[in-house]
Amino acid sequence: MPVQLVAPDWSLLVPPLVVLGTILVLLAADLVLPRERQAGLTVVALLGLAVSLVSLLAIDWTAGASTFGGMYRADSFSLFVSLVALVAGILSILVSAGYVESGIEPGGMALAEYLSLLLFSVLGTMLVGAAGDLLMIFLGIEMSSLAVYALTAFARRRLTSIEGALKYFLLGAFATAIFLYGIAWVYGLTGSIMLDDIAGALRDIVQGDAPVEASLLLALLLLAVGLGFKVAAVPFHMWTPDAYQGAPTPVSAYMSVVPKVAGFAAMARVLVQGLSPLSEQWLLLIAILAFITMVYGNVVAIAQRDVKRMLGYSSIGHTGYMLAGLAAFTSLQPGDRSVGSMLFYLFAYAFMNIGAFGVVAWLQERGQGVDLEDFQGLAARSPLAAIAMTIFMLSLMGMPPLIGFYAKYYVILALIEAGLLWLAVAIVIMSAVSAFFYLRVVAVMYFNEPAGAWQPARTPLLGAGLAVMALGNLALGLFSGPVLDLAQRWALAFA
Amino acid sequence: MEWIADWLFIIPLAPLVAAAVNFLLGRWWIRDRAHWIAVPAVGISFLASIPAFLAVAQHHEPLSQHLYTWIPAGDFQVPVTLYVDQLTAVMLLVVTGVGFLVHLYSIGYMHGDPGYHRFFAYLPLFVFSMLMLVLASNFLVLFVFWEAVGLCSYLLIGFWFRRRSAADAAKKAFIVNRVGDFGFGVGVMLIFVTLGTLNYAEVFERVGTLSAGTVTAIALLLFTGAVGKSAQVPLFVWLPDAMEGPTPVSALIHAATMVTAGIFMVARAHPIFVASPTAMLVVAIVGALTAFIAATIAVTQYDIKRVVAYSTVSQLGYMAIALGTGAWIAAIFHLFTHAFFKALLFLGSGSVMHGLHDELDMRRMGGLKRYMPLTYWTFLIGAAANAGILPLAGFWSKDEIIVGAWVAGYPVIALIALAAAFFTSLYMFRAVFMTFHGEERFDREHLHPHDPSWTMSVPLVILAVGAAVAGFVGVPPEQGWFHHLLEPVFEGTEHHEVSLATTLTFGVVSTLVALAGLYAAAAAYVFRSVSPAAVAERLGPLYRLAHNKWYFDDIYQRFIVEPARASAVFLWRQIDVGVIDAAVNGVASLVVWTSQLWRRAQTGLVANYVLAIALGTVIIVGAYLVAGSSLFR
Repeated sequence: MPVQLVAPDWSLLVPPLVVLGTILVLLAADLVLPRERQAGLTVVALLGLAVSLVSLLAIDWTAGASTFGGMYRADSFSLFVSLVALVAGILSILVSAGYVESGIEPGGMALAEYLSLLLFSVLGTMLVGAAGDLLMIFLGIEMSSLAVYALTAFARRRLTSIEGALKYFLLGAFATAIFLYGIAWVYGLTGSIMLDDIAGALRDIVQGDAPVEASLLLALLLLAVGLGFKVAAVPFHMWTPDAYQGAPTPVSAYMSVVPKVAGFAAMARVLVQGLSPLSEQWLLLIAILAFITMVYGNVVAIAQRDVKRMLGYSSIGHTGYMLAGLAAFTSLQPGDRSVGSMLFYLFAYAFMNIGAFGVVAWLQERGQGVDLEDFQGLAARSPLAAIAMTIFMLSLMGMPPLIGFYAKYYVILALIEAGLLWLAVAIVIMSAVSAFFYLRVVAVMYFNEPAGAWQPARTPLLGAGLAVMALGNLALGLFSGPVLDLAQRWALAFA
Repeated sequence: MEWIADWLFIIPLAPLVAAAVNFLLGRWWIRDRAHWIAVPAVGISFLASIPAFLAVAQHHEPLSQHLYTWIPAGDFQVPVTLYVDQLTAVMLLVVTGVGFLVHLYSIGYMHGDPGYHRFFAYLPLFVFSMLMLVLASNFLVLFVFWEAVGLCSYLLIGFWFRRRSAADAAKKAFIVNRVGDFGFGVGVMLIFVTLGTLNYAEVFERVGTLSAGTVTAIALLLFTGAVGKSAQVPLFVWLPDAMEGPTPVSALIHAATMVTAGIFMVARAHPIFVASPTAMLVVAIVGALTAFIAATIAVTQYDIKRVVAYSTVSQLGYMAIALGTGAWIAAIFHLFTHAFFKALLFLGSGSVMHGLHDELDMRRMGGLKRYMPLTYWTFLIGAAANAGILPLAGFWSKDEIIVGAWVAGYPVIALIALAAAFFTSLYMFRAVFMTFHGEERFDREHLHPHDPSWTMSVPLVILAVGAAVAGFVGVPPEQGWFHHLLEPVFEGTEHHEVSLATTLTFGVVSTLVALAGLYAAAAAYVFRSVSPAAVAERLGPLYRLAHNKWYFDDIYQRFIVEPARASAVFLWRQIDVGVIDAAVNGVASLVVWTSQLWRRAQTGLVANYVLAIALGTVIIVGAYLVAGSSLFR
């Protein structure tokens, strides 16, 4: 096949390029500025992400343009993934501000490296969202993951941090291998790695009710397992609690959201865009994974005393809800809500979960630990922090009118429309179970007396971040319509 | 004036912002300056309402502004759209106008209260909710803000929550309203189930497709909500107790605006009611009973605020009569004039209380005319307007309601309304004479009553002017400017022609009735030619019936509250502790046990984790290959 060299359309790449540029500025600054004068870099990183967020507006996403021979797509799906990744990135940096420079982690953390790694991961996630072929997806996921492995180990004098990172890395490498193996099979069977071409080829191969080739099934399952690891679906979730608990708290906040966004974006791209002709084969698998994942995550979270670990298991539970959104897929018609409800859930999840980890970090900066006992009497010590944590817990639980309620509501709606009533019922029951461990935090904050020493600290950026997220949970719940509209345009991208 | 359509959002937004600011910053920073936020905000709302009113008054075209879609769920769309037609425009002026005056009055009245900032957070929040209620364009938004004004009412009745009676009154208002709201909620659901939409325009368009029984059910359920909110028989018992709240609250919420929400809602939903003659009849009868019962109770009360409160209940009854007899415009006209004179009467009573250190009992007042001339004259105008003395506002609107009932073919209801008008005049002037005339029965050693400061006087004067002249917008009867304004809203409803002779006859009769009430009050409390005690003695059981509020509270206590408490205790001791708690605890310990068990799977060893992934993969692939492929077939 003759290769045509066409000049890439760089204008479509402005948002990721802005992030890349910011990373380069951060790395250069790290070389020039001494460690103690780097505090302003947080603002630089925030500004970079904000500019990238604004630059999203400049691109016409409805046209579904692509460049680099179709590898990079600027469509409504990539717009939303970029939006979530950037917003989550900004919120995570607000949560990290102060924590990184403080002496909480033995030996301290290098701010410039920290920020640039975090931005690399955001960049990788944006690329997954915009990927037009399997190779881009693979590269994006790896860029996102590798940065997070390093971030997990960022408290390098604390053994649990290193242990979590090592487990995450080893298992991640294993899953990556499985995923790559799946890509190889797909390429072998369809002759292409472009998602649209794969879908086209599969439409010819899969016809009528005839049984599907075993080789195709194998390819499909390998891809699903590889991505299942990235989103921490049971039984590929084992790394999650250890990594969340071990990582520095702001990193836990970040890794509970953005790599998940990358994983789910990849799932949607691969399964819905590329393998939609095989949807009859993968829908049941996703539905069952969703069910086991939500049950396991929510039930085991009950037994946790360490709040970070509890949030780790709870995030497995939420993975289950998001998978359920994907399992509601019926067709690529614009009326289908499945992928949209999943995307909306991810957006909502950023505001709830980063907020919850943020309050943990806030306590740590005031000399507290991360156990349930450390939340005792928080309402008496700081009513505002307690209110914020209560909002996050209620939102994670799915209490109206907070955004967490609407996220679950839209997933349930999609499930009912797809006829998966049993999964919808499971979500409702699991929400009730989750009340047990979320409300326990609230109860401890309000009904117990404060105990232990308290070191006042000034954390303006973190405070502002928590306020933004707490109000966001409320406001975005009441005004969820526009965001949902945007998320529901996903089908235009895949059609 | 069309430009206002894009700026409608200002009207509810301004008080909302004020409420938010005073909530968030009031306690720490704003404190005694809270009125600097709240009063201008409501003023802005009022100023923004004027062009909206003028726009719909001039062009007869409703305005609407779509804000956003609250619930976009397939066919179930709930848009938050601000909608202003002539009916809403009138309500906007009433709510923001009276609201502004009451805010102004509260500066002086609430001065020095430790909860000052809290008061000026709740009050604008109420104004916001009430504005959204009248601006709603579908039943769900209406319902949400229907509940929101109920919440504000609860918060403000119980404003002095450390006082037991205030906390109890707040709870009573909330619970009694719950009965009505339950019916209202079911009504809204029934609309959605049968018509598949909640937007006013679509609902009213499709009413014709429903069976007669369904329409009647919907109308009656909606009216149940109005019975609670607008204090009709038998749910009116909460409103007199609601006087435990600060007096400006009584004036704004429990006289001029919130309690008229039920009347507004029925007028808004008139296509549903018109479709059901049965429901209309029920509305008219309930209204007549309310007007009469409350008027008789008011004659026997000694607490000045309670007299005015029962008067409110009675006047709401008049409005319901108008609704039930199809005199839609008369109902809104009375709502409009009532807002002026009733707010005035409450603020006037507040002024009296202010001068007498929170004295409420009229038996310990008297002769205040000398000390508080401004309060006296304004209160007198309000009382005369309420009593329906020509040419004050209340005369025009009340007379129209009585005529309306007569020509619509309900002579009995018209006569009951006339009888109630006699009592209205009697209790109103009884209150005036007992408070301002006669001997000075208060403690002259320690109390030095005087007229209040300007922030409190100005609203009194403005409202008094309104109570005097507001009725002229509806003159001549049935043909006034107000009627032409509202005609487009009630287009297509049946209209009864009223002959000039009928109008004049009723004008004369109701004037005579009002003067009779005035004479009776004067005879008893000024000339002392009749002894009230002797009359009460003579009437015996009838007097006791009225004095004891027709025993409504006692009946509820005996037949609802006590049995409910007894069954609650039974359910708590036997069912709740014995069965439910045991079951819940059982499930909880089962889950915790499972959780502890599964948790052991997390060994912490990487090798085990890898094994889990590998096993998971093998199981999934194996299951698929066995079940789904051609390999094994």
